[in-house]
Amino acid sequence: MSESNSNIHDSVELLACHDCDFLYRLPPLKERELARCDRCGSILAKGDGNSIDNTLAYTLAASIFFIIANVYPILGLRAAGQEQFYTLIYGAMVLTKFDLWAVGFVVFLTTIFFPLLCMIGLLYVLIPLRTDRRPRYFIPIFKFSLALLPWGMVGVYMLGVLVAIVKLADLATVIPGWGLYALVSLLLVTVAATATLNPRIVWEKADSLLKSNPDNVSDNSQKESILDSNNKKSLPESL
Amino acid sequence: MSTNPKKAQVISARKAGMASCHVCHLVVSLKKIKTDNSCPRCHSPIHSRKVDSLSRTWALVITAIILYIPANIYPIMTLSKLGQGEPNTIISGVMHLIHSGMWPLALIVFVASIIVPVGKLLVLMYLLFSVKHRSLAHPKDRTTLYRILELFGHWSMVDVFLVSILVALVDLGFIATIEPGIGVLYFGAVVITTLFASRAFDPRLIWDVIDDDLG
Repeated sequence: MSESNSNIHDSVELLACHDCDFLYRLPPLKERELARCDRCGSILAKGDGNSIDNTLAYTLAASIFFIIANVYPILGLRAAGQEQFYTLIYGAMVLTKFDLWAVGFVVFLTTIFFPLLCMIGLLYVLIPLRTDRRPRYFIPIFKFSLALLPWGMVGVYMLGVLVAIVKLADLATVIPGWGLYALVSLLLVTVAATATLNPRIVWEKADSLLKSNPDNVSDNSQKESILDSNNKKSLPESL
Repeated sequence: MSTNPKKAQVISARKAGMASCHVCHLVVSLKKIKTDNSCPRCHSPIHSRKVDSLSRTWALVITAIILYIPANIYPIMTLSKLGQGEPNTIISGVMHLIHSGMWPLALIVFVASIIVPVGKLLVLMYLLFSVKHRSLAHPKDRTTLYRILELFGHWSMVDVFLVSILVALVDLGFIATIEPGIGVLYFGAVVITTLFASRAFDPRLIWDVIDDDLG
């Protein structure tokens, strides 16, 4: 055991499996390469492969589709000479008319508000990082974006839309709106953005900027705690 | 473990006196952060394991089970056609889809609204019991089960979204309207509670028993 301990302290890039806590030294990973845990099989780390650029591109595309999906109606219904459309926000608001404001609020949060905050947060963090600047309040904003990521449910909502289309087919004519196409596109780029996002690379990039130029940090406590930390975790040269 | 040289020189972070930050996954030595107990990189509190994982997960699982009863008793929506109301619970909604021959749709709704939440609660209870009884069996499979939970848990929300879409869309006066029922509130609460429950569970507890067993 003492030998294994010394091995671990010698190593620079330590990583513990999130699912089973096994400790690893992270080997250099090629683009698109995955490191899997030997013991439980979960993904330990992903290779970089321009993840910041890619995530940024997909997130920018997502923000455009997001606007369209929110401005234009998702679906319309035509029956007996009547025609009506609904937009994303109306879908959440309508529930408050029936005293189900809590459900409406959850729909609003998971389909509109959280995805929006997440996009803004990622853009705020990734645009400066791409040009080698560490944004102010990087830590809370990136943490917040990561925490919100699983609560955006555009994909699930899309499934709900598809089920609604089929279900209503015998009741009335369903007309797809521009918002629907935007929603499908939003879903695709969101999936791509989440798949390319590599939080490890973002943290490491932000760390390396702190080390090379400690002056661009907003608060001093942050600077000191990283630079003075005894945690000898050197960063890959490629960053 | 000694059969595999790569594994032999690796131990769990806990055994090495280290912990990985829950937020940024930085591995830090627990001895060195004693003073403020926060991650040097992202300032999140450092814990070797999620705090009170078992009791929190149990509390949320029991809450979800209780909420699941009204979620199934009360209608999630009422379809009124030509003035005649037809309340639908989750189960009657699925039955209705089967009777009208929409098999694939019935399957989607059945899996998302019944199989996923019920399966999730059963699997979580199994995991909680297995950790409590310090089970050594199939740790890898149990971890995979947990990962599946995390992956599919939020798809149960589809019924809640479906209700909101149908209510917003179908408002054709006398011809047809859809009104939401109180059941959707309970069902939404079940989904959110199970999401928090699976996040409260720490899969590393499964492996702690095995680490302790290896000495």
